[in-house]
Amino acid sequence: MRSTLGPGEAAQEVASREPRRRVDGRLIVLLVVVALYSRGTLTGSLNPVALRTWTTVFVAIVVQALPFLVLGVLVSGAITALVSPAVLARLLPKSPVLAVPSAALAGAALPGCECASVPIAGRLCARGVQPAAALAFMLAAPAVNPVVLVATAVAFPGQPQMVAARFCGSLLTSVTVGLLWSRVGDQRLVERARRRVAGAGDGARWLAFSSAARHDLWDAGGWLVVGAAAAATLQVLVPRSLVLAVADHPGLAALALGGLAVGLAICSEADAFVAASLREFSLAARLVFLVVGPAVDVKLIAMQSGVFGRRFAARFAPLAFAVAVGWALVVGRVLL
Amino acid sequence: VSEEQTGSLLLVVLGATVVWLWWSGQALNYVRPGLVTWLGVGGVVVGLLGLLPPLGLLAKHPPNADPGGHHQHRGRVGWLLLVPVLVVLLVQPAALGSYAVASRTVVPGGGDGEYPPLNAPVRGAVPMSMAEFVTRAVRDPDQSLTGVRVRLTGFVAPSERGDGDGGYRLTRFVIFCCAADAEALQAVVRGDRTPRARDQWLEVEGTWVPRPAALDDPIPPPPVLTADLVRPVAPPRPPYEYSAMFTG
Repeated sequence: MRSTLGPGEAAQEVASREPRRRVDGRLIVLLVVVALYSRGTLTGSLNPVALRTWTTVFVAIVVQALPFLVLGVLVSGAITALVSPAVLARLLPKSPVLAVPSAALAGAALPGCECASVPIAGRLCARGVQPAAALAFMLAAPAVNPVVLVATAVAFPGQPQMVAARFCGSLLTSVTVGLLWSRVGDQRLVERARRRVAGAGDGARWLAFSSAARHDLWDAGGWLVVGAAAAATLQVLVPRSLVLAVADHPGLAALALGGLAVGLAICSEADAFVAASLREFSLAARLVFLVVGPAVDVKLIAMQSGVFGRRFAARFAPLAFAVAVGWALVVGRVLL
Repeated sequence: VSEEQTGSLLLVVLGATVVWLWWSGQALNYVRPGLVTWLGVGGVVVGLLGLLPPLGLLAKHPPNADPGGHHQHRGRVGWLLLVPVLVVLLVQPAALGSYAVASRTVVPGGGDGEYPPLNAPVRGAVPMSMAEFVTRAVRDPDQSLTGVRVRLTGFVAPSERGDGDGGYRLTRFVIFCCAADAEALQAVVRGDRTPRARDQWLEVEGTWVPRPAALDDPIPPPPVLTADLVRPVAPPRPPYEYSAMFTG
């Protein structure tokens, strides 16, 4: 099933791509100088007023994600420079049935936002970890880590079953998606991530580190901007009252909150507080919000298309959404 | 100038912008204070990644001349990192205001514990956060606010249907992580004869209009305050509150 694209071929493939138009550094300098000179000139003159909210929310999402993204690219640089594929292969079991749950549980140890786990998962794939395991890690890391679970406990005082339900729902989702991907997923779709290690040579560790970190910051960061713009647009254009309208219908409510989680793109450390305030909805519907959010949202879809390619994201996001909603409903019925 | 160097330059500019957000305190318009330090650290790291050799701006040899083939393919999407830089510099987006309130109004749930005693009055009124005022007013079965003169700080948002004649809603946003997850805490203000401009920050002193606690209502209307002293104030720093929950 797994492709055997060697490093040499990969390098060739990269080199043979058509050259793209270059962006001149002077253009950036000019833009920034002009911007500095006319600093704040647009403040207060932005109309319609919705645009003002948009700029605040857009900058907020980018700024909030940046420290986590930086953590993610530093780890992915370190993986590239310090951990050889052989060591990674020894660390993880061969069979996906064992490797996927171990990777998902390993995700519990990384206290970060989802923005950190996407580039790390890309590098893990690039270093030869089975895609299924890397994807399970990517889904689990933002959802089941201790910081997120504590935040959930604080947001739902006196309802510890919510913490347990969130942990189970998210863990089951990441393991299921990982296993499904190892069976039916198109492994070639992850090759984009694997191709990128072409240049990382041995020996020059600092070069390998900075090259990987810079590259991931560039790709994931650019797509983060796309995702933040999409999320800010949805926040401004789609009134929450639209979602609240279906609160009384159990099936629709679960789907609506799943959709809201995708559109809002809230950091997984904060989503429990928003879920706590959605008091119109049943606990089970709010669990859907908590399980879907860290797995699929517009910001993540954008970053995944940057790291794994657009075709990957187009298949992975619906799969993860369906599995997350399904498990959240099942776990909600059992535990809540 | 090679494309690699241009990319490095953009990383340096991005890092510098982020460090400026941290240094100037503007970052508080977007994220909670606990994240601000990490934002500064993140900005420094981004800047260093753009500066340090062998790939950054300080490299002696342009990296494209590197025969080792370490240059990786550069996606075009990364240039979008310039967008937040330009938005921050040109627009300098302010903290969320009254236009962002739409259907974000929230009434915190009641805790199951006892409500702690009120703070001591300062200059004739008990200063409290909007979270405390709204929670006590709507959820406290013992109605601890009855007859108490309180002092609240918030900005003016228009009143909504069912709020009664005139008046406005004194509003404060509460954020948990960043402004994308903001929710509005609101109190209806009555008895202020002066017309107030939207988004004007006010310090309001007055007393709560008692109403039985809404223990089971998931979305009760916001509490009402009869104002007897209203003073325009400068926007507070930080502009948000950070917890909607008042009791545990």
